Amino acid sequence: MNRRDLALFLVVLALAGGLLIANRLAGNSTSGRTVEVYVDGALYATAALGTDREIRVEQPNGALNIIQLTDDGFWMAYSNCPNQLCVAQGKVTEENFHHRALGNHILCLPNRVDVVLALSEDEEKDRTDG
Amino acid sequence: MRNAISTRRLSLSAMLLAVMLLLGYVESLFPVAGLPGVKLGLSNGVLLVSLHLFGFWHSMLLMLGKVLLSALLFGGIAPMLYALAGGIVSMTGMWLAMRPRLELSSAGTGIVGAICHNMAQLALATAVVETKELAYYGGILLASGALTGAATGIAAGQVLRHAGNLLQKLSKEKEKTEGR
Repeated sequence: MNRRDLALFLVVLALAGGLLIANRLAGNSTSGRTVEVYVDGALYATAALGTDREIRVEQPNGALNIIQLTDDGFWMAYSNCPNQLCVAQGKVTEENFHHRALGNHILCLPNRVDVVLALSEDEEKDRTDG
Repeated sequence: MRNAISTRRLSLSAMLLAVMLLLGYVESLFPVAGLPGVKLGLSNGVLLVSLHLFGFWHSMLLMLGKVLLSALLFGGIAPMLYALAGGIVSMTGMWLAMRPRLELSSAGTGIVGAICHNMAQLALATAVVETKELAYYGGILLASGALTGAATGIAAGQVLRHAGNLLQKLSKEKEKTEGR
C-alpha cells in the first residue's frame, strides 16, 4: 500500500463518513418500515412509512376505517365503530411501540381491523419475551 | 491458426475462472449480517491479477464467464444482473486505475474496483426499487468497499509479487516450443 493508495483510501472513507453524517442530519432515518393492515385476520394492505397518506378500509357491511400514515408513524384517523377505542389508541411510532399498551398494534375490534407496524425478527422476539 | 488462443493461456484462464467460482461460493457461505452487497469480493482480486496478465478484454471475458457460471450454479437471473453491472463497471474502473501515471499499487486498484462494483450495484438497485434509504446505504457500501477493496487488492498484489513471473510466463500468447 503506497502513499497514493492510502490517500485514496482515506478520501473514500471520508466520503462515506460524510454521506452517513449528511443523511443523519437530513433526518432520513426512517428505516423503511412497513405498516400492515389486517381485516378479519387477513392481510388487507401494506404501506411503507415515510410518506403522508391515508389508507381507507371499507368493508361490505359498511364498516369504515381510515388510517393516517406520516413519515414516522400512523394512527386511526377515523372509524365508524361504536366505541372509538381505536381512534383513542393514538399514534404508533418506531420510538413508542415499546411502551404502548398495545405495542405495535392499533386494534379496532368492532370492525375487526388490526393495523400493525411490522417488526424485525429480533424486535418480535424481544416483545414476546418481555 | 493465428487467432487461436494458446493452450497455456486457455488453461490458465480456466484455472482462474475456477478459482473465482470457488471463492465466490465460499464467500456466499459467510454473509455479513443483513447487509446485502457487503462482501469481501475475492474474485475481484483474481480479476485484478488477470488484468495484469491478460489485459482488459480477455479479463472482461473471464468476468462474464464467472458471472454466467455463478448464476447457473448458485444464483439466478436477478443476482446475475447485479453481478454483471458491478463486474463491468468495476473491471473498467480497475483498468483505468492501473494507468501508471496514477501511481496506484494493487491496493489502490482494488479499492477502485470494489467501490465501482458497489456503486454500480447501488445505482441499479436505486433504479429498481426507489427508496431514499439507498442514499444512506451508499455510505455503508463506500466504506465497506474501501476496506474490502484494499484487502483483496493487497492479496492480489502479493500473488503477483510471488507468483507473477510464473503466471506471466504461463499467460504468454505464443507457445515457446514452436520448433517442431
